[in-house]
Amino acid sequence: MNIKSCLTKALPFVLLAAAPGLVLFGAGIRSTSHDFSGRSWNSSREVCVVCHTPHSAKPSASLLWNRDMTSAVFTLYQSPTINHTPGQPDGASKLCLSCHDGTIAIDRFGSRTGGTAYVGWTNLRTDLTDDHPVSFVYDSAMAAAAKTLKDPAVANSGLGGTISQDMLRDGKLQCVSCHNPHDNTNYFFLRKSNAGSALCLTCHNL
Amino acid sequence: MSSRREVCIVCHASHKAQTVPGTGLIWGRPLTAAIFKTYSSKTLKASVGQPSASSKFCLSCHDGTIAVDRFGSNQGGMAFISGSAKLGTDLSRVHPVSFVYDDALAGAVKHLKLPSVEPSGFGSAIAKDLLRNGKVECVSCHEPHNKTSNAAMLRRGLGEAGLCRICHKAMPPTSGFSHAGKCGDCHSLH
Repeated sequence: MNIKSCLTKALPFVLLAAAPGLVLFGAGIRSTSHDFSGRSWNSSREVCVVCHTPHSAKPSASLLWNRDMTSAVFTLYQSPTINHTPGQPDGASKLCLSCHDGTIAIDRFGSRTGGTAYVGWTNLRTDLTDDHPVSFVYDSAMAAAAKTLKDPAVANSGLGGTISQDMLRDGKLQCVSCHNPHDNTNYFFLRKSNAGSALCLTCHNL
Repeated sequence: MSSRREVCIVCHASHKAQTVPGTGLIWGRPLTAAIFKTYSSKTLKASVGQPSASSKFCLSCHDGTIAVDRFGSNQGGMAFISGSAKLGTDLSRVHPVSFVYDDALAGAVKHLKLPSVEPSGFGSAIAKDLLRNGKVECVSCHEPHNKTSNAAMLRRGLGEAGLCRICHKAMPPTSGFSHAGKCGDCHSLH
């Protein structure tokens, strides 16, 4: 490999590193409560490995998940005024709940057994009756029946496109519709600020 | 939290809600524990008991027993409801709530419309649009998010052929007395 070949390969990274404001990859998650790189149980000092792995990901999960999935059966949110079809958490929400239901230790990832660290006040437990429902289909028909929800196929999410395009996963509302686990710019890892309840009012038509 | 000027959070909580499971609304406030004096009348055929969960959501502020600024982890105590919005715990002079309003009641009372079929004016029948678990509740008449901009956040104004007439039929003359005019000319709802 000659010098020119090396430089050609290195150039994009050099340019990126020089770009104003970008010091490290993964800058959004660093120093947040999802950054476990400094924990005593994390000998690798890596950021991503506590949730993700490029090889040998857990077979039942997506997103190159490096953690066991929760096997809990959740008590679902119930209300006399809902118009969605409730169901057990699935998709991305099940990945979040694999820590946030309090059943699996944070330091249990990859081949580590862990057991010394668990979520604290963000423990939602397996009783979801006191939480905004997730893992339900949110489409135009449901919004029309509800009357107090915006049509996700046309309503502006405030994130660039429609609610359906930007916030739903396979047409469903999930934890990641409201939260971005890699970025705590808005408090509570919210995808957009909830000042003035703007996040709530993205979907709720009040 | 008040520094973020959030609107919804004073009543609703996306996580760690205080709702009694099954009653809904991801309610973020404690529920009133008051025992209420209920409406009664010689002509009342409905069975009126203590307010049910739906109206207790409203009464948890509007009975004056719980501070408005008591929500989520805020202990509050600085702001209580006052003036005409404060109903107190004596509901004997308030339009009854939390009673079953079904076709059987309408048949017995005769001047009430059949809730299962009569239109509410909001798209479907009275029972579907306005009742909660088949009962009249505060939210049957009031829309707490002020979507209508009517006074007192009523779903419909109180003029002639207004809110009252959704459920109550027009009254024919009785003993020569004509019921022309607005209901509120003689009846007081709160």
